[in-house]
Amino acid sequence: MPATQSHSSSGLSYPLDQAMNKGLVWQAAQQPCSSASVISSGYQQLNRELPQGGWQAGQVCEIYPHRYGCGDMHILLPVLATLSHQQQWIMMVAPPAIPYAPALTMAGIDTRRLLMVHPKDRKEALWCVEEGLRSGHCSAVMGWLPESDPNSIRRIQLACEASKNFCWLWPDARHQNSASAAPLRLQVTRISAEQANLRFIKRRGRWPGNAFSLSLNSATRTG
Amino acid sequence: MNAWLYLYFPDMYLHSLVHDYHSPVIVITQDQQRVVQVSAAAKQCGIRPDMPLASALFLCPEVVCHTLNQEYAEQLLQQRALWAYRYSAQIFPDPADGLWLEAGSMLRLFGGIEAFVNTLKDGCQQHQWPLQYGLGLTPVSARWQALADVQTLSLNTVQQQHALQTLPLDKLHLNDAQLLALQRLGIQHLGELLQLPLAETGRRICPQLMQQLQQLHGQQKPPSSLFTPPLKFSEKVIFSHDAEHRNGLFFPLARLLDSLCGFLHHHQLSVRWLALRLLHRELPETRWLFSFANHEYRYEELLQLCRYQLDKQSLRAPVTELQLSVTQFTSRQHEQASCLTTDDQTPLSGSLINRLQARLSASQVSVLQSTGDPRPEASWQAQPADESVTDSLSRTGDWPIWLLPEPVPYPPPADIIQGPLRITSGWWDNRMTRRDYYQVMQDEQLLWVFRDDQKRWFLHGYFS
Repeated sequence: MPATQSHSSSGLSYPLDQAMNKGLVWQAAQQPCSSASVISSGYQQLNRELPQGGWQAGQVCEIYPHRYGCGDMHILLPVLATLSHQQQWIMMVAPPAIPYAPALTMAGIDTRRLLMVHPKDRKEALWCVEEGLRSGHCSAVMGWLPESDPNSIRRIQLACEASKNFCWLWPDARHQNSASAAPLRLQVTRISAEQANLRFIKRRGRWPGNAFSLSLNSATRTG
Repeated sequence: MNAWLYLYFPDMYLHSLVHDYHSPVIVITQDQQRVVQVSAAAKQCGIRPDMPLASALFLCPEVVCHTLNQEYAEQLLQQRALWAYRYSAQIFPDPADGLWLEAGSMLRLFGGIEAFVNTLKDGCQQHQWPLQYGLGLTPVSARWQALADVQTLSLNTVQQQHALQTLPLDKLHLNDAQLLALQRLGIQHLGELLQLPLAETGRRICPQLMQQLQQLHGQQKPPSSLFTPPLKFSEKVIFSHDAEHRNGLFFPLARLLDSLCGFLHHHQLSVRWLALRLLHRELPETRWLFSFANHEYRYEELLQLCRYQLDKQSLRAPVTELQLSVTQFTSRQHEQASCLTTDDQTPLSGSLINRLQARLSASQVSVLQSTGDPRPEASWQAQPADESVTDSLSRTGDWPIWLLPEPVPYPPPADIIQGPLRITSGWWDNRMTRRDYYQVMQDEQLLWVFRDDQKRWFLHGYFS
């Protein structure tokens, strides 16, 4: 990167250099390597929209549901079912309610792999997500972080990249329109009992794209 | 082959005290009359062992004095014996400050006497223990060579004999009267003493010395009893300056944990809890119990867990002494999975849970356990994460993903998508439930609401 070199050698700093050093600018040269493991989302339509044709390890995905109960968990059920057959934990940090075991079992998820952590405050929650990612004992970490800020998301993304795990976060809806280090940002609204509307606010490696509707009953078991 | 190795730890008591190497520290007798051991910095001030305390204080008024605690001194020797137990099966602690190790049967394992001694020396160096060793064909010969710090590394009879002949008598920890009597006769080295008739020596100088001289060539067993390691771990660190902050406890604790891990490795055991005892000057002692969700024996993990647990504690008062003890162990046997088990039976890693529980609290980490009860609120249980759970039963139907901890009153819904699903159960535990569940679409949410038998509506979950 010539821009960074000039910055370090001359000591002069341009706004672009600063932004790049902070990791705020994504460059096409930093394409995510496709060798990292990709798991099918279970929905053909969603696979087509995801940059690598499925959920990719090492990339944080932020999910912004319009409200609770609009199908955001439903679209993750197939991938969680696949991951739950690995001998590793699926960690849920500060889930908004009790995961109802019969529904998860119905979706093919081995509920013995679910580890629920209820942190007391924001600091503990962020620590748990990072620890889960760094420990190497989790196949996926899901975090409901209503008090997260862009910096903590960046930390989590770094941990996620280093550990090559799957990570889904539910940040504060107010951050929806501000910048974030997460490579994927997904907005979910429910249209009807079987249909949800999805829109990628950000997809690393592709343009954000238009909203598309997904039939929630169209999942195929991948595991 | 008969071979004995004597390990002599000079100033063991002094070195076991946590102190700063630049400040003068001395150890004094229990009656606080005389100096016993002197640190390098105190030596520079002119303080010598066996000096009256008053003279020492006169030479260096700021010297830090520690009264020798006999019980602790014995414990220290036990610790060293425990450590040495990795290198030799037969250990005889010498009540002064040394250990006899039976070396003859260990030579083949370590590949020769030099390799054996070097392994021991390296071990001592790691702990920063000063060491003098002596190798001999009999226990007494090994001890005397260690005290004189000869460092013979050969078991050849001629070389051994030569080494013994030249031992200076004033290094052999003889008592003053014996030494004086020998000096009056002009005897400086052991060789000169050995030329005298044994009976004469006993009569003129001291019967005890005669006994030792007899043992020098004859007796094969050391004069103390065999060390057997206890199945209980308890070690402590005494601070020469009080630790005022919990960070000051971390480094000494790391040393204790290292020692514990050696113990665990030797016995192939693991631990689930550690007991820490902190002594204060005035307040009664503090006891901390660090427990883990899963058995642990690795040093790095234990260190990390203790770090998290320490962060949660606060000190009531400065600490003068830190003790770590463990009395309950579990064997590591059951952790080895059979080669024939399928993937499904290998246990999930417990170290993540250990870390989470150490940082948070045990109640904040849980796993789901299905009970098979048809009532939604009774169908699951949050189980402590360290207990194993059984697979949940599969029930067909359309279930919500999120369940509210308590049903919330809800206005009668307008847009019912599906239902009713009647759940009637619980006659056996006085929490009879009769409900009709509906799926309701409201404000872009798919909700799980029910109407109870008194026609009240409640929200109980979300389809997400």
